[in-house]
Amino acid sequence: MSQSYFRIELPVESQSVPDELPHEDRELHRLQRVAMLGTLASGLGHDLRNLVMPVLLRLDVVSASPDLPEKARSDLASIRQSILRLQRLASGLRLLASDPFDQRGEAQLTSLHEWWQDMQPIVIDALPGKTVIEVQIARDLPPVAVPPATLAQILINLVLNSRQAMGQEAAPRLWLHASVARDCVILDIRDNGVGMDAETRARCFEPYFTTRAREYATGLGLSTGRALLARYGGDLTLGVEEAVGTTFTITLPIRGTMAVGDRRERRRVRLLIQDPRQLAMLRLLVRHRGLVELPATEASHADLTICDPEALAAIVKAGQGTTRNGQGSSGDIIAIGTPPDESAEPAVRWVDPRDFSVLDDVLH
Amino acid sequence: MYSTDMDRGPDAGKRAVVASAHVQTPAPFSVMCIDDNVQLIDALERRLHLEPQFTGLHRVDDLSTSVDVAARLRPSVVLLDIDLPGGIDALGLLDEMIRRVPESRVLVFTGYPSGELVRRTMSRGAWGFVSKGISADRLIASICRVVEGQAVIELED
Repeated sequence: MSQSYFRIELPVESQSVPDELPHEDRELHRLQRVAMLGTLASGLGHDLRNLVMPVLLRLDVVSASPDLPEKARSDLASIRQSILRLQRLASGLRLLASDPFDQRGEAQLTSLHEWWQDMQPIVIDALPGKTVIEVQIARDLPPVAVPPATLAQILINLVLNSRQAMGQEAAPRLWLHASVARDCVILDIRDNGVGMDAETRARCFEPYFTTRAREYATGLGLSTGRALLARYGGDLTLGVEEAVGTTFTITLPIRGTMAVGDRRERRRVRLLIQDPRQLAMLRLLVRHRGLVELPATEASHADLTICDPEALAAIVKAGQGTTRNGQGSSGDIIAIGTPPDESAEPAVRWVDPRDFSVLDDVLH
Repeated sequence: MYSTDMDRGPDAGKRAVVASAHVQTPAPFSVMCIDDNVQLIDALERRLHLEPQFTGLHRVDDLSTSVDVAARLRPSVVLLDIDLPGGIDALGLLDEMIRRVPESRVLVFTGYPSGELVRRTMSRGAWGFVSKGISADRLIASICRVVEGQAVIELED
């Protein structure tokens, strides 16, 4: 876990902010530099992708050769693994470069296990080479209702704080542990650094409070992280004081679920849409909202049915209506198209196929 | 006929967002590639030749005539890099391609995927949207699925 994949040394020192500038100008200067780094990361991620895809395609071509020695085949598999890592790194850079305050058009849900695959190379690179990272993020965790890029930026900020706290530590260690509470996932990030003194613990969520040199920190990381999470019904808190290190806890709400007794179940959606393009877009929306898609032909209960006018006619004819509890029922119905008659089926919500954005609210 | 990718197996719909109205037997297909990355086009051509039904890849030397060339050659699939350099209006190119060569299905290809861009390109009539961050296998599968009349959205999440 300790090898370094990609490291960019930026001439931070040479771009230092002149001391004589007023406070506001120094802040502006710093923000401009942060924005520049974001642009750089985004461009680098894009270029990496452009380079990686041709390599992967060529690897396929070479691997398809029937008379390849076994040793060469094994070498090719190793090359492919390295290239896929590089591709993950490019994805991670994209997550970091994205604007966390504007994720409206992006996936709203994060599958933590897959998200960690993208984040891992960047987190490894952000920490000293000897750091041991222990990760417990199970594959079967429910998706959480915070966009991947937002969560990435909150995590990397915490990791950079840990890096500073573990600066003098001979055996630096970082733990990431995710667990499910009733309707949220708890992600703990713990380090074995120097910990925080009483004043820092009391003030760490205050905007502009920092223990680092102003040159390198804005003092906005934790307060911004907390504010970002609050937008999605989540939270960022400081764990109880321990003898060693610091723990931060990210609370991530689970969405696309509903209470069934004392459990939460994901909402089930049936898509009865013939148009392939509409179906592909709806399927993406359903997946990004963490809903479960039922097979079109299965006679089981759906919480929501999204259908085209032809399918709606069939549902109405079969008398399934909008009841929620019957065998093979349709649940709430959303029809894609133009309503033929205002009074025909008042319980049905119609959505214009040219603008699926309204479905964002319905499916959330 | 309402079909879901889930009918093909438990994992089929997990990563690929694939929708199919009429799945036909694979037919011979050609691809036109509009991308400024020559290495990618070369590699894609080599890889596509592993597909038995692939008949050829058309390159575009001059973007201003790409729609004319497509109208003449009628490729099965047009792989369009939506991030073309030099201030080229790729969305305008997409519109013109769909209007003038409706029989060629456009697969949008991008290094900057976003939900908003999926919406904008698919609602204009693209048959698919593919991120450059996916695996080569998924890119090839996406091309083949679009040939078969499926709409494909492949993001790396």
